[in-house]
Amino acid sequence: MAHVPTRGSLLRRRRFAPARCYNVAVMGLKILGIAAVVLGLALVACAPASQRAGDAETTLTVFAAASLAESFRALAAAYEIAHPDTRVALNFAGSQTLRTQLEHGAAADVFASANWEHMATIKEAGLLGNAPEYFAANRLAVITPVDSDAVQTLTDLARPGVSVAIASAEVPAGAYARDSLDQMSMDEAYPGDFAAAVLSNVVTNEASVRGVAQKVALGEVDAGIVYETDAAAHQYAGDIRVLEIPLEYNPAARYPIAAVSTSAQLEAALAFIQFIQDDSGQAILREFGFVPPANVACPCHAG
Amino acid sequence: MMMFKSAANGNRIASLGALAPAGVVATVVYVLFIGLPIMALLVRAGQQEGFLAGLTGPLVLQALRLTVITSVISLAVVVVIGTPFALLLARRGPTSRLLRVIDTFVELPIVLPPVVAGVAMLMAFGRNGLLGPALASVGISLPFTTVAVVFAQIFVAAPFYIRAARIGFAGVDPAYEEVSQTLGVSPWQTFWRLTLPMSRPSLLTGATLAWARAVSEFGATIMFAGNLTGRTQTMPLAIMTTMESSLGAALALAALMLAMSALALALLSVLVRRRAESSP
Repeated sequence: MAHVPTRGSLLRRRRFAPARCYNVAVMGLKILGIAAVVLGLALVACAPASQRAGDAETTLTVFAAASLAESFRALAAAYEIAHPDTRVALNFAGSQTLRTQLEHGAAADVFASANWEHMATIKEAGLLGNAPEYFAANRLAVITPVDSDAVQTLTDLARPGVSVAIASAEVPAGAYARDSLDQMSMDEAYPGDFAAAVLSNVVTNEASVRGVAQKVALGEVDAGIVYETDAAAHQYAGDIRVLEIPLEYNPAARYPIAAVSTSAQLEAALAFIQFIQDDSGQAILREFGFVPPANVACPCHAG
Repeated sequence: MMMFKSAANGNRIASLGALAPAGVVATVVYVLFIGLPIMALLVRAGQQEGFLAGLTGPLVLQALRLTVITSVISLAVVVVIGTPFALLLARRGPTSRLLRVIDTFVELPIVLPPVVAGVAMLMAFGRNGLLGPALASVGISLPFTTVAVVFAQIFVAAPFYIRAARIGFAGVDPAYEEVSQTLGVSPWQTFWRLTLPMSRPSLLTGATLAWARAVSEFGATIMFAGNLTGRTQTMPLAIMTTMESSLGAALALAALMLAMSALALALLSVLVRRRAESSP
């Protein structure tokens, strides 16, 4: 390779001769790229002032379980109307993801978890600014794609060949789903190995309950176990059917909420939490299918 | 091979002039930027309780096994399909507009967010995808299977090999191949004895990059293949899952992946250097 023959270099030059078609394609891509950037900047510039950060005096960062997405968006909107100087920034993910983010120093003011365990971990880490309280409860439901008849009853979940999506065991919805299946296994109405049979049909352990709902709505699996509020969420309407899980196998999912101790605006955080617990906040949660937390002894007050 | 030669040429430093201090500062900053997190990962992994248990735990071993198997299959497919394709691009590309457009198109996955690739594959091969019903009619269901993991890896990794192979083949002067064939050596043998050895550094570089990309694939996999231990949960997916339950296992997986990457890089530099030294 050290001595390149003249003929070779001539060949090479000819090979790299510009070609119009290629150049036109590249030019087209460049124009598209520039157009996209301009459009993006225009959209940012034209966004209403209230949607841009920095205008409001206070920005509350709320970490909330994925299943709370629509209801908390509505709560935040209502809160912003009542408190024009406050903006609510929402971060939705599986409660276990939010917990991990908080443990590693994510800046948040409020944490709303879909189960007690993740809230307890944050509490033990000394990251809570007040005593957590339950503000909502939920139940599980099985959903199936509207165009699939593989799962007509809960028993069908265990039939060989059926594909099931659930949230992974760390996700509250995944833990509740496993509890529910265990309770069915212990009932005479279902075979003793029912839970094991359903779990062997699981094709994916999703990182949040909304991942499960999405896979069912896309029709990629025969069934999924989600919350009743997910099953009722408007974006899946028309894509899914709902199978109710009888109450005796349906563990109540309770949602605790608390302020984060590292918050620089603890008062505002507590005000937002109070708003959710008050009648107006509770009414909004009711609209999205959540029920008031049952009057059970809350473990959060014990410690 | 010219690029490897010029890299070894060290007497250009003087011409940098006033830029040299800036270069040194930039180098130190960059090395620290990359080195610190990696150091921190290893230090923390060493301190973490449950690190050794995590390293030999079933979750880590299953993820490791699945990752090695799928990435090797993906690499094999990429090399078998990518090599003749890259050769065609290198030899006919200069005179074919269509091939040049294809050449640009196949590099799209390099810049495409992997999660977009995953959604796209679901739309193509999913049960309700473009080809889903046709596949289902012959009893094939791809999403959430180990095959889907391999599909996702091939999709994102192939361009790295094809690009490097195309550059490597283009660097072999066709005049040599013509001479070889004039001397009565068959085109097939010319490829094996001449073109392939001469472009080996590029091919090895491309194969290593493609393999590393396949091993680290996350977004397309979780979207198209799901997340199931032993079937579709490769190491990156296992890290995400264990990060939320057991930091020890997550760190064990991360350290393992780091070791694999470092090994690949070391192997590559040894192979390429040996080749560069033995060539005239």
